[in-house]
Amino acid sequence: METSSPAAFVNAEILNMFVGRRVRTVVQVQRNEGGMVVGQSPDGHPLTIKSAMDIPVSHFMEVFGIAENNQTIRAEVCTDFGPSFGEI
Amino acid sequence: MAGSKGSFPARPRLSPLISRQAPPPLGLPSLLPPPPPVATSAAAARQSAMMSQDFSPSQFTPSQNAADSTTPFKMRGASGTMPLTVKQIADAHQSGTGEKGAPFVVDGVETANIRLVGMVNGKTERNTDVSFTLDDGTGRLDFIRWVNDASDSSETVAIQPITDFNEVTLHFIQCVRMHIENTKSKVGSPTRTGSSMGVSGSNGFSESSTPTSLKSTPAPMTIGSNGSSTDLNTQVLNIFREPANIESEHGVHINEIAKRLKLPEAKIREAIAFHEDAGHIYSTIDEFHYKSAFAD
Repeated sequence: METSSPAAFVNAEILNMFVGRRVRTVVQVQRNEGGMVVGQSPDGHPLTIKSAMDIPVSHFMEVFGIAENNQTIRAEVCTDFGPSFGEI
Repeated sequence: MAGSKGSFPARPRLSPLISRQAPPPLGLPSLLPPPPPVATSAAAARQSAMMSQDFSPSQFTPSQNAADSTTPFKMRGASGTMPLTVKQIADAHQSGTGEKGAPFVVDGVETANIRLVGMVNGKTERNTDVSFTLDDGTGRLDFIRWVNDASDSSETVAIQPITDFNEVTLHFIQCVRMHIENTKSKVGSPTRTGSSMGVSGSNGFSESSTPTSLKSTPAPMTIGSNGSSTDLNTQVLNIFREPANIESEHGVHINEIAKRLKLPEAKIREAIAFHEDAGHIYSTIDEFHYKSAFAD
């Protein structure tokens, strides 16, 4: 087992603390522009996800990747979390 | 062992509900509960993974795995399983008693059944087993799932694909909660309040997640009263042990901790003095900056 590349849970507000490091978050897809997805972060700010999969708008998407700056994540893995997530 | 499953909505989709400890990777037999002998070979490792419990085997077929390597999977356990992250398992293994066949101890609690949630990568199917790696964001763990024959049926691993992704969030919240419960009782804190306080106390845990529009969890997040000094010590130490702060050369300024915990500097000073005496932290560039002594 190895624990060398953990991914920290982030939202838009703390993404700037993890620039250059592996992060994970779930965004709600707002726009899909050929390889780039703009989504709403858990705390309501827009985030850009690069090299994301093609996930339908308004679906939730979990992304693991490297934070490029305080608004962009370069995705390594994306998972479609479906249209409803986080609601009780 | 504290089972927390009752506090969240039931998850009926998973049946049969049983099983157990994931078969450990080869070469780590010390993780296993007694009684088996030391195992070094594959067959012996399988033997040692058997536990004398009367659970019926779940049928795991390789065809259940999606070919997609990003499909999230989880290892299910019977009621009373401990939700864990790979990092916790790695730490427990490293600080293990070293005695072969000793119980697996996490946060001071002996654990037999564990539950993990993560993404499956690198599945390899063979005649006798299926092996894969589970990546849960804190680390990667190798699993070997032996093709069951009758004699092995007392030990099984339940592996279920996730369809409701709230399970992912739920699992990590439970990991955090179990960790807090277990470490709180070690520190000997006063009785915890049952209120679902905000997760301000968990700032020190990088595992806590805030997914979109998740209301405060129905289960009580037992943070404990903020006024107690032992809780404060733990909170302060947790801030020092955050990865970002461990990486930083100068560590953390005492004012930043006071700001985060919204407490007077004098109280923070007390906690810092306590930890400095204990050897948990040390001062760096001046008497306002401290850094955790642990390199984790």
